[in-house]
Amino acid sequence: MRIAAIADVHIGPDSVGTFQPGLAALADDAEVLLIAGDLTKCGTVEEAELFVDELDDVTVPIVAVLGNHDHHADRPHEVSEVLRQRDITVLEGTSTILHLGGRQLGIAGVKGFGGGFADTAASAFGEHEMKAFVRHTQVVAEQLGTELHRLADAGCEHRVALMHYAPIADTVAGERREIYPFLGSQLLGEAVDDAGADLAVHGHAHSGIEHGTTPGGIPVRNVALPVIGCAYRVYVLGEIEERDVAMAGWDVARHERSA
Amino acid sequence: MNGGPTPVEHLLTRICDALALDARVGELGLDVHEESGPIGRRIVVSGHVSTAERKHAIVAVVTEVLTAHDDDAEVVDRTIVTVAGRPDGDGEVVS
Repeated sequence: MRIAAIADVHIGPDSVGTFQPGLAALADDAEVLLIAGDLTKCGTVEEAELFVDELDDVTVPIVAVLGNHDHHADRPHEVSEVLRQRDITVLEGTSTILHLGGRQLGIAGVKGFGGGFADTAASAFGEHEMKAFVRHTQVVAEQLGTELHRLADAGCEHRVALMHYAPIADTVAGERREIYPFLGSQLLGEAVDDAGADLAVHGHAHSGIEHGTTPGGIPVRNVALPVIGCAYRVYVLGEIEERDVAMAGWDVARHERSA
Repeated sequence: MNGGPTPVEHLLTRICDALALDARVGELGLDVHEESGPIGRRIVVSGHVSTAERKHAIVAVVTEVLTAHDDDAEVVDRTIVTVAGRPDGDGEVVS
């Protein structure tokens, strides 16, 4: 099963036509496109409409979560509605199951939020505002875990956790440590480890790195556009089948070496 | 303070805010720092931006903040525009 993923394209009026060419051949590379938030620059409805125009050539299913930029204009529901009208599945504390080539892919999605990692993580202590900050992350992390469990109960062969904020510190490495608490939360990673998944995908950390692993051993990929430097990254889940080989144009020898 | 020049720490905070909130740029997380040398003080901005238009707006936005604080430091833009082309390679097997 081949999954394409991207985040942080930040489409605005000045970026019309810049994303579309890179997506033109996506259906040759993957069976689904995951968008890990920050599709717009400032979260306006106009920018959301420009974003969906960039997806005109994409024929595979698209599943997205919003990011912090998509909330900036305080119109996240309207932004989501624009996406849904283009048949993009928008997740926020919810999940979806796609049937791809006879296999079930379950995707649980949340925007996520901050709070930091490990021994420098914030606690819900003190002022109301501080408690609200941490509790928001606690709530969305719990939703993520609940949805991943739900997908397991539904019998999905593969499960992906899709979020905007980072679930581990590994993939934000390269950012200034002072801003780690605003880049993600250990609670998201803990939810992924507790419920299990084949892959966790996020964005948000533009100066981070692509590859990381949760403490429980689940692969995490930061697909922020400045990190991956291309229109999407492709990840292969499960046993490699003829369909995957054909899509990637692999020859048998290369396939055997990489398997 | 007390009518003197704005301390650079305060100035950098104002510049980061402007780069995030001014719709001409709208980029969070850009690195902004001061460099001083024989040719004078410079405010340097680096990181990634999504379009050439946003990159070009950076000098204007930072200069406006500096002007508002009677600061004549030179502005240096070292940001990189990220181009979203089709990826190379076959994809990564992750599980």
